[in-house]
Amino acid sequence: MNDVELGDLTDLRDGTMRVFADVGEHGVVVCRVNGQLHAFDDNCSHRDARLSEGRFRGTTITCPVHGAQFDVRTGEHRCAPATSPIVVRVVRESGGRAFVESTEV
Amino acid sequence: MADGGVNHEKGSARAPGPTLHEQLLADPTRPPWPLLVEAPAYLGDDDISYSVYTSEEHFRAEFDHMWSKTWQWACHVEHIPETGDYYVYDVGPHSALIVRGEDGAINAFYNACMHRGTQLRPPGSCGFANQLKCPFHGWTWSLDGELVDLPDRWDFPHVGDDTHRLPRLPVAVFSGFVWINFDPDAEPLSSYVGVLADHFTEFGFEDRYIETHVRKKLPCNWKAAIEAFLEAYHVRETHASGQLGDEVTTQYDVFPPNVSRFIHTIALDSPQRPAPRTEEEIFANMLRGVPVESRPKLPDGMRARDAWAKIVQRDMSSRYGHDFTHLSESITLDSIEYFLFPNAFFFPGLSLPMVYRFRPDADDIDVSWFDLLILRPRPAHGEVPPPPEVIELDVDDSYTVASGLGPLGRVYDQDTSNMKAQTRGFRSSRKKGQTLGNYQEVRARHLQQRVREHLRAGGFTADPT
Repeated sequence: MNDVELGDLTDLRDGTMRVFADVGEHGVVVCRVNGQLHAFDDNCSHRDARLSEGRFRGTTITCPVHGAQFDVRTGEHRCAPATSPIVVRVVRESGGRAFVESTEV
Repeated sequence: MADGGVNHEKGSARAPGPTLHEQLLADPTRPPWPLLVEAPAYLGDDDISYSVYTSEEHFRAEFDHMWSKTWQWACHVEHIPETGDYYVYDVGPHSALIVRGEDGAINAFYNACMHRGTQLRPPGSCGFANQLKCPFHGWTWSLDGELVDLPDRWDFPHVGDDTHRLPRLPVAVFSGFVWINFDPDAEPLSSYVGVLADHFTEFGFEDRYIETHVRKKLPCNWKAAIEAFLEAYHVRETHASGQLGDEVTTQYDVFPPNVSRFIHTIALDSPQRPAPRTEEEIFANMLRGVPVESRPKLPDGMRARDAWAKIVQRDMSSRYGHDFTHLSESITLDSIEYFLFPNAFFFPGLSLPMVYRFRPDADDIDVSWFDLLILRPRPAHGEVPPPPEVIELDVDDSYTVASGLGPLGRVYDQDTSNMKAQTRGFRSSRKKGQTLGNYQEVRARHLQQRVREHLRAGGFTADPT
């Protein structure tokens, strides 16, 4: 289990996301919901596509290609055409720095 | 024309005592002009055949001839604020894909691929797309419906950009909501809404946001579900003691062809109450939800209704940063319910600010879906909160789990229990139709007549009445 430092994310506001393209195989997307950071791999479970190019609202990320939707907190898929969850990762903030675990949750 | 005690005259259209109109005129603050309009209607007194709730042929004819021809609100404009945002609205077999286009305009398309029919986006979904790409073979349209990619185009010499653009369906924005009609030749929404175009200029629905959104599965036909909310005649028995005096003074209006309305007052004694309550008693009743130690006293010489309106106005003013203290007592407190056929309800009141939508289940004639929204004034400062996630409730789930409904949750639960019993009774009754009050239940008759008119226009005549 390796922690990867993402830097200072205190400027990442609720309802916004940021992609770290060089973390993991696909890159990792970090977003904030109600003050809490969440992280998931930048890869749709339906077809390989970058979720970071989709839209993030509330607790849902929508894939821009076919409209698959996922709960960013748990990775669970919310609608077709996805039939399986996306990979979410533990992310924490400490001393003004954010860290994401590079192993899958 | 009496016949064995039966009288087919239209009746008085009034309960004993002062009318609601007279009550509004007695308020210290004059309500907005639409609330002073009276439009009683007598639409006949024939029984409504239970077959309209139980016939599968009727159910299918409604999808074919009525749901396909009428304006329905699909989503709120805030569900699709930016280019590429989409929302899928479904009713029975019909499905509309509503998309915010490149130029910010709202487009609505039939939600089906022009290749082999696959729905482009799943039912009920709300999301974002750069382009509308079919998940089956990848045919792709722009957000404005232009065919922009067709894999292996060499195999489709018979496909043209014009023949295979996404067909549009009529779409319009009204009262902060996006409305669609599955009929390409539909009359404009602006004429379909009738008096609402004028009445709603007084209410500012477009300046409200969705605070709470509940979607409940109901154990009854969609028309029975709607009818449960079209009259306040049931209030005395369903929501109160059943004793005379616990009814609410209500005005019922019909504005043909598509609109009906009721208004019922809050914090006034019913004129039918045998022993009227004192203003202090009425005020105490309004303060039930307030902790005893912080309950104010009724100022000398002030009516409970007027004092309660002031309290509500101050509370809402501090909560939403607007000054509501100039509003009338009626718009502050009363249950003011507009219905737009076939399935939309709008409540302009400050403390009862709901929007409803009812839809039939696609397959089960005895199931319907109830969207219950609480709208609030956009905050004077700061960002408008985005639409909340939908709280999904199954048939037996209580509305009280949705905290945003407050004490209304219990009231809606009381309505639900009637629906199951009535649905069973449609089939167990010896009498084969329901008998409606000429005045208090005229809006249910209006709904039924509009459905019947659409079905007959479509050539469906199996209705025995």
